[in-house]
Order: sequence, then structure tokens, then C-alpha cells
Amino acid sequence: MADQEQIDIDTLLDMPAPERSRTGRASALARLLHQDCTHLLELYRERESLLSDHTPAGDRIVPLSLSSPDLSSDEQVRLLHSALRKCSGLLECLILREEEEMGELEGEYETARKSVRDRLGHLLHSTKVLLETDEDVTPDHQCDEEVDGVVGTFGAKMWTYRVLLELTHWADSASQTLHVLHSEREGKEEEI
Amino acid sequence: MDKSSYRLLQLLSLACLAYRATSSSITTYGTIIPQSPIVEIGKEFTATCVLYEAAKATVDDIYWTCNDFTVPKEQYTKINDSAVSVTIPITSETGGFLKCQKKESPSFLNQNKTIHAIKLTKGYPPEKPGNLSCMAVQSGQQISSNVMCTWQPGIRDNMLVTTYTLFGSITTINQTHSTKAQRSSGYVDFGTFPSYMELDIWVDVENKLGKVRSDILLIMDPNEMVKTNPPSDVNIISENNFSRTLLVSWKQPIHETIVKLKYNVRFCTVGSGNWTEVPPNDTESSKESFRLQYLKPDTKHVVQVRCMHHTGYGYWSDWSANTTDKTPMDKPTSKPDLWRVVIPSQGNSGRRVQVMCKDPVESNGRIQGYNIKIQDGAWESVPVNGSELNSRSQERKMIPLYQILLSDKRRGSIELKAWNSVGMSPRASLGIPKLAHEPPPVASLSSFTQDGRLWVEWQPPNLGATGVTEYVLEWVSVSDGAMDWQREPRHNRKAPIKGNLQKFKLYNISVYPMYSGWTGKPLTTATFLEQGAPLEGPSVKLRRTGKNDAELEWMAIPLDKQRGFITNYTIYIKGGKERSIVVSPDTYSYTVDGMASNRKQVVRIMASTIQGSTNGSDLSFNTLKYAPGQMEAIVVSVCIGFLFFIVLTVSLCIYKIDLIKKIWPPVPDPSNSTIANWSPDFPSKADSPKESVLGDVSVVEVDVFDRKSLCEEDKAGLPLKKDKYLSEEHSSGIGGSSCMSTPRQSVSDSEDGGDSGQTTTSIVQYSSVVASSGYKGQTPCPLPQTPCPLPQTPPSGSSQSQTPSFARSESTQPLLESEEGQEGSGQTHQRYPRNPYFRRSPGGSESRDPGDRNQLEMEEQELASLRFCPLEEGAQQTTPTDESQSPDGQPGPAPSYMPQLRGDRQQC
Repeated sequence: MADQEQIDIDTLLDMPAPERSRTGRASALARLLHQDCTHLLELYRERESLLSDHTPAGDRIVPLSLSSPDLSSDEQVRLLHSALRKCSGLLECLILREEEEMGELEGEYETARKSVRDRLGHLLHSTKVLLETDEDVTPDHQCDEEVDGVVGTFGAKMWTYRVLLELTHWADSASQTLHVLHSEREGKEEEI
Repeated sequence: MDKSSYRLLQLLSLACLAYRATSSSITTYGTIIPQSPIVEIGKEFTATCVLYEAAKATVDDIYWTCNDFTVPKEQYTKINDSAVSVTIPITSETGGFLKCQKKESPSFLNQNKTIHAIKLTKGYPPEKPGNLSCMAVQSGQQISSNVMCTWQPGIRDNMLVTTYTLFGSITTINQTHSTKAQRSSGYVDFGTFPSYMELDIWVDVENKLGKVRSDILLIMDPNEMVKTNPPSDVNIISENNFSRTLLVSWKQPIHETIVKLKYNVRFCTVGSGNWTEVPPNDTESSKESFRLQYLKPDTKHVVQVRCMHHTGYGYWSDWSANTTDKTPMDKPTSKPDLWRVVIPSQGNSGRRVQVMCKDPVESNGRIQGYNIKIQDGAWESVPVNGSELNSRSQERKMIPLYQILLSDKRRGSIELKAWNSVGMSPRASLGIPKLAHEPPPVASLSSFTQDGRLWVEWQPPNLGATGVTEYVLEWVSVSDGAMDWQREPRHNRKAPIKGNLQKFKLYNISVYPMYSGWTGKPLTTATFLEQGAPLEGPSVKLRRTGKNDAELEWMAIPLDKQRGFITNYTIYIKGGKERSIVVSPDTYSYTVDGMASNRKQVVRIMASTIQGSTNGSDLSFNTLKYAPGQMEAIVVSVCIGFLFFIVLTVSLCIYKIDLIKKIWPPVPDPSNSTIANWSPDFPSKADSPKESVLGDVSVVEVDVFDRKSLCEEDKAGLPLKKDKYLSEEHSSGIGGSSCMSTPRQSVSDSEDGGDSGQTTTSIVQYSSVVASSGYKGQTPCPLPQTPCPLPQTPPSGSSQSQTPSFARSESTQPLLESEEGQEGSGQTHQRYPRNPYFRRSPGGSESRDPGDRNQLEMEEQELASLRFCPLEEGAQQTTPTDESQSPDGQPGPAPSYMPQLRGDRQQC
């Protein structure tokens, strides 16, 4: 999976470099968020070595799909924004849970986790600007919803793992979606 | 100070403070508004004094002072009866207290009373910071969230406490971060570096006179203020088939999703330090490799890479560390530098040609050998053990290749190729013309030094430079023979010598015009890169010295110590007055004249170049007292003079002999006197019977001036002296002063002593030989013709029975005096010699009292008796004869010099 992600990044890197436009910056930010999420996931896998061979079962935590052909780019961005809000909520819950369990640490994992949280917030604001609407950027999730169903330490770790995977997935989706949006808008500007 | 005293002092201080506080609370007459103001320099400040009733004054009684200077009334403004304001300009000199004071009546001792006072704190409002810039550096694999910003705070000192606050706002999310900063720099921490988020960064500066904000630094993409680490893992890949290229690869220092970078590559050859930068456009992409082209084969190159944000905004990273690799070898692509040195053969009509070369400039690898072809011969391979080629062509080594003998009447041609492990170089050729047909040299040649380099300037050959294809500049160190050469294009008229010339060394520089590979006749000049004073002075030697001059000689200073062209020698002479003589540089001996004779001279020689002079060692010597030959001339002159004097004296003596004889009568030399046949060396005669007769023979000296008869004297003195002379067997003449002297009878020459009447045949009698018997009244016996032998010393008491005999003295010396006559008879004795010339004069002897003379003679005899060997007792004193006849025939006392006939003359 990591290899696939690397290929995707390389593919993106071959694309036109992000300009100093909003879409370009949002697209680059999404890629950066995706890298941060990937890095965080790796750190978590390293920390929780038992999970390295496990693939979480079950559906996605954020049940949204951007692959519908009927959706315009703007609508995809809007869905993306919504999904990112849910991811932000999940991350907040994750942080809250981990800090409750282990306290406030300042290791590399915690630094990467903070970086993901900040960049996710940055991306939410960026997509809100792109949507040019008064979208909410606050985390959209109640921590009790999912956490209550988790039983035991292993279950909690698996949930964390699933959340990190979900973050990585949606960061990647954001990267691609915003890149498409950026390409479309740059193309229109060039035509103009 | 003890503890009680300290406590007392504390109590007194508290009492004073309490009194002041109490009194101030009581005497509040008014107040000034505003209190403790901060005033701005350059502006006006207005203060109002409000009087209380306690002041018991009106505003007319109020005046203002600032820093103890009264403010003019014109600056006052009466607000009402109890309030008055003042407006003062604030300058940099303004300060201290502003006081509202009341004029008191003259009756008061203290005429002025302060109503209130305020302290003025002056300053400037903050200046607006300028040139704000921020930079985010790489930290690990991320960009540090701590952004550093710098700005220009302003040039003036605002004199007030000022705070700087750095703000950073992520405008998209309306999140602002701020940090207290220094005067011109600060950090703002965003928690997470806000990549791709719009930022506003500014600085607020605030003091009590105001607050000012810098221009907002709008950053569309914070990555554009990033300075990353330099690229890592820079590597150089050398590919054998590409001798002029190197592939450089590296790794980006940070993930490209964070910062997309562009790169910059530069390279140089090892040791050169001249970097060549790859055009930026070639490395703008985010590639992580680049191929350097058009490099020099077989050359070590150094490569560095740096990076920055791909847009060009932001900061270049530092250069990466040096990475070095070598380009692959290639075959030589330029000709070897072929040259020759022609050494004329002595005596032969041939030349010895040393062929030498340097590696091709583009050897493209280590040259392993040369192929050489002399005249029309075959190619010969000359392998060389070449070292690593230095990239700087000036340091190419000379390689002596071949030596050939070439007739003066024959021309030679040489061809040369260099080869390395890859291939062969192009061919180089060199032609040596016949000696008599060498093409013309350059018209002129000169040299000069500029910027520490030696330049050579020449003019093309007079016939025109049409045939000249290039010039060869050859330089040879005169001191050690080291040589080198370089080539210059045909259009050049001057060129710096590229070799490593040394200062203070003499070089012969030749310029050869080359005519399509054939050498022309050289023109040579000698020069120094830089001249200096000689390292040592000449060592002077003395070749010759005279009375007033000296010839000096010295050797030329060794070439390696001259350090320049000798311009002259200066001879310093110090021998009394110091002086100097300057001679030409080709002079190595000099005769210094004008020196004082017989005096110490100190000489030294100083050698000079245009850059300085150096003295040689001192030489000390003395000039002669006489000139050569002068002494000889003096000696010869003196000798001649002396000889002349002698001759003159002799001549005078010859001509004035009579006069001289009168003044200086001849004195017989006792040493030359002999007594014939009277020598102890004749023992046979001693045994003869006659000897017994002559046993008592005395030698009597007769003073020629003493007219007294010796016989008489003897008779008179005999009894007194008899004992004394008993031991004396013989007496001698003047010369018989020693026991060893041969006893003989003296025979005096009668010519002396003024006895001119008997001169013809007479001989002065030096002594009288008297037989002892005669002395005793016996008739003397006639003597034989032959001298009587001396008697053997008879035994004691035998003298009386012996027959008297005579002996004759053959001495030519006169008998000076006759003392024996005064001696006791019957005794023979020896007398010590006396010279009558020095003892007494004839006149003196005559005037002397006889008694005195006798006494004196007695004393002398006593002295003589101490010196002479005593004879045996019984020996008798000889008695003088003819004692009654003076030498001149007159009767008188017995003369000392008894004239006698030549030969045997009977005496007494």
C-alpha cells in the first residue's frame, strides 16, 4: 500500500507544480497532509508492532464517496470538506483518548499527530475558501459515538489504526480532488 | 563604627524623613498638570500650575523654571486667577524638573517658594521597522515551525523603554501568533509550519510616546521563505566511454511535498579554485542528477550542489560538501611541446643538440612515452616515467629525450609524438637550420618587471615577420643552469614569463623567432626578476704594498650572491682620514695611492646594485716605512761614506803618521808578542845546563818616561819585595798578565818614547831580561844570538847557583813601564798589564813625586801579586842594564823603553 501511495505521489509530482493560487496551495497542502498522515501511520505501526500484519475489517468510518461521475468538482470539494471535518473529529477523539490513556507526550508520534491535526485544520480552511461558502470548519464528530463501542485495549488500538487509515485515505482523496480542481481552474484561466 | 552608633544614625535619618514628610503634607500650595509626563523631543509641552489657597498667591506671583532656568513670561498663559500654564519646546537638552514657583516678598529670607514640580522624561516615539524578512529553516525532515524574522529597527535612540513584538498570522484561519522580540530580530512559533497557508508577519514597536507597526510581510506560501539543508549524498559517477563528462547525483534534503526545490551545481578542477557554475536553467527541475560536460579528461573535479524553493523565492541552501572524482582518460589531443638546446662543440664543426619536450597541454592522461624521429630515420619509442599531470600547464616538466650530433653545415629535423594508454598525440616537428643559414633574430629585445612578473618585449625581425609563425621564449638561470621555455603567438610583441622565476637570480632570456617550425637566430638579454643588495661584499686581498700606496685585488661576488647587476665597487680606505674611491663594476684590482707611510690602513670594498650595497670584510695592513730600494740605497750610501771615511783616515794616517804617532803612540799588542825559544814547550832545553843558569830570569818593564834606573830602584826595593817575588819564576811583558801566558823576555822598540836618536835600529825595550846573578851583583853573561830558553822552574834554593841567561822579547809592543826594578831582588814575578797611555802621561810621571810613584807601584805590584801565579821561591828579579842611560842618550833614571840594538843586545 505504501508503494502504491508513493507511486501516486510521484504521479502527482510529475504534474504541474502548485502555483501560488489558492487551488494550487490547497492541492499541495492536501498532498502534504497525506504525507503527514502516511508518516503518522508508519509511526503508529512502528509503535504498535502487533498491528503491522493486521488489516482492519469493516466499512469505512467516514461513509462518503467522491467517485460518483455526476458530481462536479465543486461538489466533490464540498463532500471532501465534509469528510475532512469528520476526519478532524475522529482525530480529535483519537488524541483525546490517547492523552487520557498515556498523558501528554512529546515524542515523534505525538509531534506528527499534532502536525496532522494542524494541517487538517489548515486544509479545512483552505477548502472552505475554495468553496467560497460559509462552511463550518469545526470537527464534525462526537467522540462517544464510536469509542463507546470499542471494548478493550486491542479494540482501542484497532480503532486508532482505522482512524489513521481513514485520515490517510481522505488526505489522499483530498490531494487528488483538489489537484483536479486546480487543473480545471488553471485550464479555465489559461483559456480566458 | 560600633553597633550603637550605627543605630543612632539610623534613628536620626528616620527622624529627618518623618519631618520632611510631615512638612510636605502640610505645605501643599498647588499642583502641576500633568504629573510625570513623557515628553517628545521636538515638540512643545504645556503644563498647568493650579494654585491652592494655601499658596496665598495669585498667578501673577507665579513663575516657571525648567532645569533651574526661568522660563520667559511670554510662554505663560493665564487661565484664571489660580491657574497658569506654560508651554516649552522640548529639545534634546531639555530635562530635569519643571517647577511652578511663587515670588515671596523681600522680607522673607527665602524669597522663592516652589509650589510644585514635575520631572520631565523626554524621548522619541518608536520608529517604524523596515526591511522585514523572515526565514524558516529545515529541522529534521520538516520545516521548523519557529520562523526567524529580522528587520531594521531605525537609526535613532528613542531614549525610552521600547518593546518589539513579532506577529505571525495565518490569515486563512485567522490565527495569530506573537512573540516578544529583540530590537532587530525575533522568532515566531506557529506550532506547525503553515505550509501553503497565507501568512501575515509584522512587528509592533511600542514605547510611552507611541506605538508603530511595520509593514506587513505578506507571504502567500510560507515555503517561499524556507532555507533547506543542502542536498545530501552528492555523488559523482565517472563513465569510461565519456572522458569529458561526469554524472553528478544527489538526494533532496527534504520531501518534495513539503518544499519543491530547484538545484544549482558548480564544479572546478582540483587546486584551481575557479568554480564554474552550471547554468541555473539546466537544473531548475527537481531532478536529482546532472551530467557535467566538456570537462578535461583525466582530471580531478570537485562538485558542489545547493538548492532552494523552485520558484526562486526564499533562500539558497549552503553548498554541499566537496565531492571529487576524476574524468576518464583520453588520447592526447594536442602536440607535445618540442624544443632543443644546441651546445656548440669545441674544436669541431658540429653541434650537440639536446632534444627535449614537455607533455602536451591536452595530454588527457599520463604520458607513457614518446615516438621520436630524427632526420629521415625511423621512429624510435622513448618510454618515460611520467608523473601525474598537473592541471596547470605551467608546471609541465621538461623531459630530455635525445641527444644528437649535428654538423654546422647540416640542418636537422625532429618529429615527435606523445602517447598514453589510450592513444597517440598529433605530431610535433622542429627544424634546426644550418649554422650559417639561421633565419634572422628579432630586431630588439628588452625586459621589465610588472606586478611581480617578468615581461619580455621584442620586435619582429627586420625582414618582416611574415615568415614568423610563433616565438619561443627561453630562459636560463645563470647560476644553476635551470632552463625553460614557452611559446607565444606570432602577433604577440610582449609576454610575461610564465615560469616560476626566482627573485635575485640572473636569467638569460632568449627570444627565438620560429619560421614554420624552424628555429631562428636567438636574441638574448640578461635580467633579474627583482634585484636586491648583494648578499656579501667582495673579499679584498693585498697584492702589494708600498710606502704610500697599496695594490688591492678582489674577486667577483659569486653569481648566486650578487642578487642584481653590480653597478660599481666602492673602496673605503681608513688610515687617518677616511676616504672612498668608486670604481667600475668590471674592476677587480686597484692601486690606492696617497697613503701615509708606515701607518696602519684599513680597507674594505662595497659592492652596489641599484637596490643596495653590501660591504666586504675589512683588510688591515701597514704601509712601508721606506719605499722598496730606499733602504738599500741608504745602506749603500752609508757604506760608501764609511769606506770613504776609512780611506780618508788611512790616507791621513799615511801622510800624517808622524803627527799621529806623536799624539797616539803605537801600543804593542801583547797578544802578538812572542818570546823566541822561551817556551815551556821545549822541555829538552829546560833540561840543558843553560837553563839552570837562566833559572832566575825576570822580565822588567821599564817605563820609558821613568828616568830612574831600575837597577837602582831594584836595589832599593829588593829587600822589601824579595819575599813577594820569591815564587815568581818569570815575568812577562804587558801581555804576560796571565799565568798561562808564555813567559818571555820582552824586547822593546827603542823608537818610541821620544827616543828619536836611536831609532834606526833600535827597538823599544819592552822588558829587560836580567840574570838573577846579575841582579845580585854578578856580571851578566853575554847572551847567545838565539833567544834564551826559559829556565825550568828550579827547585827552591837553586837559583843562586845558576848561570844567568837572557831572553829576548819579540814583541812589537813597547814595554810600558818597568816596575820590576822596584821589586825585591832575586824574585821573578808577573805583572798585570797596564797601559801607560791611560794610566799616566810622561809629564805626569815626571812631575810625580818619586816616593809617591814608588808607593803606587808597590800597590800595583801587590795587586799583580794577587793575580800572577807565584813563582817558586828563589826566583830572582832581573836587573835592568844600562839603567844609567836614557833612551835619548842622556843619563838619568832607568828609562822604561830601553833602546837596544836589533837582535840581541846585551842589557845591563
